[in-house]
Amino acid sequence: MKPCLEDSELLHLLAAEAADNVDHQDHLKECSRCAARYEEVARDADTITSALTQAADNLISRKRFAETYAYAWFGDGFRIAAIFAGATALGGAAAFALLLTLGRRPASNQLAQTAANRSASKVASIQRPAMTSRAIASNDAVAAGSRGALYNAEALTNDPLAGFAYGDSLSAADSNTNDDMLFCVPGDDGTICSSADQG
Amino acid sequence: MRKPAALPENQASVDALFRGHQQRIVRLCRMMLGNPDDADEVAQEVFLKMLGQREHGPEPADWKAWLTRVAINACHDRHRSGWWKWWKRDSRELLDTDLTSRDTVHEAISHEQTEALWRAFRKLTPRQQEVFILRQVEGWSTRETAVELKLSEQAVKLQLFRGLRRLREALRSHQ
Repeated sequence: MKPCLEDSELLHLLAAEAADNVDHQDHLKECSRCAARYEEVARDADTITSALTQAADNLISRKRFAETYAYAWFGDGFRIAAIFAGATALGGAAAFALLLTLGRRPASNQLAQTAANRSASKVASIQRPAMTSRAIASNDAVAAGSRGALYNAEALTNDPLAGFAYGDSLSAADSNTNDDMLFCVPGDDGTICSSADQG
Repeated sequence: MRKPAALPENQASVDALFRGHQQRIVRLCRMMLGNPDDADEVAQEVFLKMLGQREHGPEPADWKAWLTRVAINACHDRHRSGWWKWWKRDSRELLDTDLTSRDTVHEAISHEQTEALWRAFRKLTPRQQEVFILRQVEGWSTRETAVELKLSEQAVKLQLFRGLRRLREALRSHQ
């Protein structure tokens, strides 16, 4: 008599047609233990089949699908929105930092400090247009000198037309690194730029 | 009382065909697709084709086999569609559908076991699922299944064996 069949052989026997595996079929007829195990395997297969068919009949997951899908959809939406928001914030911060770095100008108080450090007499002796001179005439000499210098320097730096009006003089003034502030305003004597050192 | 007019012969037949096979086709589609919404849509397509076949084509000798064949092909088409692939990729976990508490499957089998079996079935390869459905659920022979799925008979047996082995493991692991 052949040895008892393994579970996999019994399952093979079940999956195959009855005419197949004649040897195994013969063994089942002779061995009651294997026959009982085969019955168990067949019963399991029936149970599985009936469970799956009835489970398929009772699937009502429409609502759950919709809800879960909505959650998943919104979850994805939030994730994408968060990524975009983060990227936008980072980009904005980087752009702001770049602008700050490239477009940084000395603060007004720095200019004022620079002007105040100069001697009042030198600043006061700068040739200025009459209108500017009149504007600062009411102040005392030191204050007028510093404010006037500050006023003119800022006006020249900020005025977009200054480039047209004074052209190279302005750039010359900007490029003067010798701590000599140039005031490039048309003077009465026809000179355009005069240095504070020129007196 | 006036007697309602009888339906024309062919219309009555269509109605009878629909009533006789609707549940079976929907179940088959649900098992193949795993998604009841898609399965209902595909089943509707199958019965629309049945109407077309009745009106225009030659009448098949066996409507049951014909409907099963059309349903399997329609499920294949759905599997192949880009939309389905997108759905399956983006919501794979959604295929693990919920089972109602009404599934009084077997007295010997618990709700958890049924769920485990369903999930194990969904994890089978599509080929194993098809073979299982045709052989075990529809009761087709190995030869019929092989012809329909364009497989050898040996391949059908092997696929069924592998599918049954996995399902049995799932059943045993939850006992």
